[in-house]
Amino acid sequence: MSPLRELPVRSRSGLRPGTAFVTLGIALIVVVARVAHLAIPEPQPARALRAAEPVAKALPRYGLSDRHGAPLAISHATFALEASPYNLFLAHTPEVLEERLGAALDLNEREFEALWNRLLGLGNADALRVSRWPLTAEEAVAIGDWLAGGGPAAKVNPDRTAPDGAHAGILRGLWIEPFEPRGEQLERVADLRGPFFQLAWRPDILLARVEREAQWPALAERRNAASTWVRALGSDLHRLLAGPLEREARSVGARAEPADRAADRATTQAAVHCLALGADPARAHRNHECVFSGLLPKRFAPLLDPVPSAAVPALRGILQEERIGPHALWLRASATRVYPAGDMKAVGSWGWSGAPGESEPVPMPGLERLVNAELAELEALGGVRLREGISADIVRRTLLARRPGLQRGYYLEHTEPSAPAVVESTLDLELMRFVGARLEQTLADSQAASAMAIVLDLDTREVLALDWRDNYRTTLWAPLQRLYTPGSTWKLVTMALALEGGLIRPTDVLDVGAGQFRLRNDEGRVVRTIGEAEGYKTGRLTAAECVAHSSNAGMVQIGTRIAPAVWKRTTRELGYGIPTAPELAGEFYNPPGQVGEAEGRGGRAWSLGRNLASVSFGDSISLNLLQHAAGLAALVGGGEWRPLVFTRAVHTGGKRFDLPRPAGRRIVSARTSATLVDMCRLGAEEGTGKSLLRPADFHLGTKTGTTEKLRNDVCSHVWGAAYEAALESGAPWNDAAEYARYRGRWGDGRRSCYVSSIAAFARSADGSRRLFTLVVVDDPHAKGRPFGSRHAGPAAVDILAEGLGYTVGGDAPLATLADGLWPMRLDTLNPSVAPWLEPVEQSYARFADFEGFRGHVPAIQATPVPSAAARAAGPIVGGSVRGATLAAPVGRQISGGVR
Amino acid sequence: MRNALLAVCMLAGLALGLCVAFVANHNHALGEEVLRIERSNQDLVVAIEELDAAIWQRGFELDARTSISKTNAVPAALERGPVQFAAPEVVQ
Repeated sequence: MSPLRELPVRSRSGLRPGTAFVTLGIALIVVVARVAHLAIPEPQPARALRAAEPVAKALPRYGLSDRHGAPLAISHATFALEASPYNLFLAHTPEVLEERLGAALDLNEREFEALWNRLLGLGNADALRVSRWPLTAEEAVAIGDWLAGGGPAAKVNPDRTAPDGAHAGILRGLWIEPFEPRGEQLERVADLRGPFFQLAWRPDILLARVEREAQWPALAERRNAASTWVRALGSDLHRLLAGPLEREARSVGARAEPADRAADRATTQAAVHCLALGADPARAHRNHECVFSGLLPKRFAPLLDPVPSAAVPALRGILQEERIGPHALWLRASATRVYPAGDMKAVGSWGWSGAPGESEPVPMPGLERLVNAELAELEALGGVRLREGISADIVRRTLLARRPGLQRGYYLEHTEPSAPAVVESTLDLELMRFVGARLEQTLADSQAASAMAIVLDLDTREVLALDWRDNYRTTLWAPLQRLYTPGSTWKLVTMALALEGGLIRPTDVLDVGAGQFRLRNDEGRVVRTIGEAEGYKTGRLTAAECVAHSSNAGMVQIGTRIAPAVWKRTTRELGYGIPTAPELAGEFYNPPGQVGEAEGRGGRAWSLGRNLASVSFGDSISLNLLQHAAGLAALVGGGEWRPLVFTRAVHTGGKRFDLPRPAGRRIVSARTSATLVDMCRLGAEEGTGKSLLRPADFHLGTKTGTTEKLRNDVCSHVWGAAYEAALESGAPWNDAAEYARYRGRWGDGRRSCYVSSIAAFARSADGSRRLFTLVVVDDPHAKGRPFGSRHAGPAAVDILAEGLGYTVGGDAPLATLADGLWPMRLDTLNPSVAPWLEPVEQSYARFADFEGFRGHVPAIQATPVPSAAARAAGPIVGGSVRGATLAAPVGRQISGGVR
Repeated sequence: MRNALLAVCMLAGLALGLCVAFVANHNHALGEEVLRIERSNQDLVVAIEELDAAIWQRGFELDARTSISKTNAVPAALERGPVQFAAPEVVQ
């Protein structure tokens, strides 16, 4: 036998091994229980119900910038305040919330009342009505007795004494109303006799502290008075509503798939909730949840979006101090989209569709819609998230909530923050502003119904500016939806087709008659007499002069040489007669237009006199601004048609990704394009554009257009005024019927109305940039001739001069002295609005040794610019030396009025 | 011997359990801290972005009012000074 066996085993602590085993075992179980307690979330029906509710989708987080990085649209992080009224009022007192929310949110009385009504679920009603539980007369009487007895307080306060010693009276805030069951309710009570009743109540009265303490004074001492009161109310009502609850359970149970009934989703969910509670006797203590899910079925109420950031700390304080759980009232990370440079029609905006709480953000026509579509495509291709950055959601964690007011945070994972993408557009903000202001001036000067303009870089087809102004209220997205007849600007298309087909040479001479040209067919019969429009020439003109002087007679002779099949094919290749830019605006905003009347009449063959002649000088065609700009830019920009480009790059994760450029298609040769450019240059020098004022070394090319409206057209002034009158009076408006009514009516004894337009291009002095613009002025009513050169021309030249840097903001350009320092006009220097700016001579005193200043700054004279009135009086030579011009008198502005 | 082994195993199990409990507790505390920091970060981000948007907005308004020109003017135009606009015949 081993000596070890004989040794007695004794514990130093006196514990026997068995006891030690049990002790350690218990300790181990405690540890395991603690770990499990922390790790496993308890299922919560209330939260599950909330999760099933719709949650409003947020606006995208990406930004838009102009080509120089200036933000056009910013989505900044915000919070939205949202609540589940059901969960909130199960445990919280309405007037406490009302008082604290009112103090935290800086809202006016009306705004707060609206917010509060949304939380109560009242909307515009005076009370919440519970139609889902129709009551028989007996049930109603029982509830009435219960109300008269003070509700649940009858048991705890049998002598019905209020704190002030008076009789507590009837329970207020809940009452019975007569009710006429309909539809589903009627089915439920089909075997019962009327009359029927329903419950009506106001949460802010029934659940108010004053009411519960009047009925049950002892509650004033309790910490959880609100939930105790709700439990007591619910428990009693559950008993009193046994009849209707049973009828509902039968009805819901009889339905095959109650969850599919989206229309009464909240009701069905609540009924299912009640069924689940009713089926489990262990949950009888939660019967009040069933009752309140019927009294207050609303589980989602958007309260305020965005919440001002200054109010957020106070709201967090309320949530913490009142121990409000994240399933009852919460701050949701949201976003607000702002347009810091102002609203721009071309940029568009975001709207919302659908019901509150279920609404989805929708991009409206414009750059916003285009960019959203492009990013969606990139996301699909690259599997990346570009439209939503993570900046407000810096750290992701799993939050396990066990019961309201107690939050357990687990650091399980986090996502690196990432800034939202910024899409760099092709637009130039400064030029956009100038174009907008110039169109406003054009609208006023020409007394026009509308004016629109687009500016393109001819080499890249990037859209630098796009804007429009309307004199009348309208819902049109003009660059795509305002179809117009191009008139003489179309002659570039005619000439391009003829040149390309070898049907004409620029030097070929044509007899254009004396203002009335008779078009004859092969048999010599006159099929149509063509009139002239703008500053027409007579006699014999070269083909180039026909374009420059916009001779209808000349262009008809050229255009009728082109086969109809060529017309149809090539114009489609140029983008005419088909929808433009589907991603920029949906089909509704994108009508196709037409080329040649026959296109709209079942493809009948074109006739010489009617179709071919009309198309030759720009009649019988409807198109939109973007379509025509893309077409003409192809012809004078090298001969290749390319889609207009609105976006350049995406900046994300600190990197820049250039967006792919769509491929073009060659329509005419480079030689034909160069010939067209020469013709337009001739037009600007000697033709219809010769009267336009321009800088001395400006390589300007123009093609003007003046389109007289025909008897089937409407005058935009007449139409716009009628539409506004209908809006004012609320009269119904039907586009087709009104069109038929107003067509051919010009108003004010006028003989017709016109569309004046101009296509113009110019290049910078060093030839590095070529810009193209198309300006369209609808129905100019100012006195004088309605020519395109008069109404659209000055704006076009000003826009090109601005875009090419001949002017800045319409004034003489100011030299950049050094990075971050510009000379400026002293009359606008106001230290109270721009305290960080100072007159240049002061800067010079401090930075005199800075290399970039030498030779420039001493020449600057701080000459105040005369007032606008003085400038308008006549040319003033300002203090300007060696290019650093502080005074900015601009001769062209003074002479602008006589152009 | 067997009892001693059992006791050692149980002590090791208890130590391990305590470690797990400590880590779980610590993780829980860390989670609370992360939650607090996240909230505070979130509030800051919202305030900063709101301010950023407001600064841009105000900046653009001032820019429009004070005509600070970030010129892209052609050098020739700068050298010459104010641009004179004229029709071709005047130019010639």
